[in-house]
Amino acid sequence: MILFILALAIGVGVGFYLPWQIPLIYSKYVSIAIVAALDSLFGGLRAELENNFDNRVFISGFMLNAVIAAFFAYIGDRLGLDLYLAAVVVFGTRIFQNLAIMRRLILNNYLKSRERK
Amino acid sequence: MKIKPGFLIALSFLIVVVLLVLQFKAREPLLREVGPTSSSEAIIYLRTLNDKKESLLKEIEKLEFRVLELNEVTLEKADFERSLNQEIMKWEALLGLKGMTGAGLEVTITPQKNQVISAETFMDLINDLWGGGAMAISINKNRIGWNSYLHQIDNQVFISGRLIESPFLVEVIGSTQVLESVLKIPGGFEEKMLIQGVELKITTNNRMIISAGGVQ
Repeated sequence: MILFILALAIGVGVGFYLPWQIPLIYSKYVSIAIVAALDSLFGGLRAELENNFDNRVFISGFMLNAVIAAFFAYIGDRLGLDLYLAAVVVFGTRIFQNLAIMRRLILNNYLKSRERK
Repeated sequence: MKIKPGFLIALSFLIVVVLLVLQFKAREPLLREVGPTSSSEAIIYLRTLNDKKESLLKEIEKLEFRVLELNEVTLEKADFERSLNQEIMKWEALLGLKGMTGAGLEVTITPQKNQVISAETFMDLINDLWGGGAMAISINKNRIGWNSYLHQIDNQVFISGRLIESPFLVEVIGSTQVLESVLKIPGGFEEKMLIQGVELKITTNNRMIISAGGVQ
């Protein structure tokens, strides 16, 4: 938990003080990449809670999902299709599913630990 | 080396947070500038912009019309200035402030010995010529202008203080026909001179030059 709070603080600090801005024309693609990265992040957390976390799967998923989602959005723009919507729907659904599963796992763990006491 | 899952996830989280903050930084000025956050607001905003565009187009149309009006006024002003300049030039010529060229008459007055041509005779001649539409007059190369004056002392005639002597050459620019008819009118200058026995010669010159008299 401390690690996450630390990461949040450092991330906000770095983001604010970084003397660089994402060009507006790429802003949309970065948004999709962030959604994909969040999906991987929650997937990783869920896997960790289920005790089946794999570093390679997590890193490859984190990187590739973001890149592919941004690429999809870019291709969609070129073709005149809102392909980014597909990524938003898929990753959005998965994020909610992962969050639901995580909630259940955390709740179960909590209840079990209370029962043991 | 095996990296702890918690650390890896936290690192990924850090990357996502950095990206999120950068994204906020990029989009925030745009949102502040555009204003609307939802599509319905965007539609209202777009409609407002369209209304503004239409009113601006009307404004532009009005301004273009105004520019046209001003252009017309400017042209009228230019015409007025041109005619004013022409009038000034005309008056400068009439007042003897400016040299003139053009068609005109050369009147040579040669009195006999001991015969006197009075200043009044010259005044009559000058008045007749002005009456005939003369643009410029000179007597023995003395330009008759707005401040010229004639006077006589004994038998000598002076124009603006300068003595003029016989034979007298009167140069005049204007309509040669009108000026000639003015001089030759019955009872006119020519007849008066003939009665007095003064020799008078009137010739036409198409390229006459009368220099400016200047202010004396």
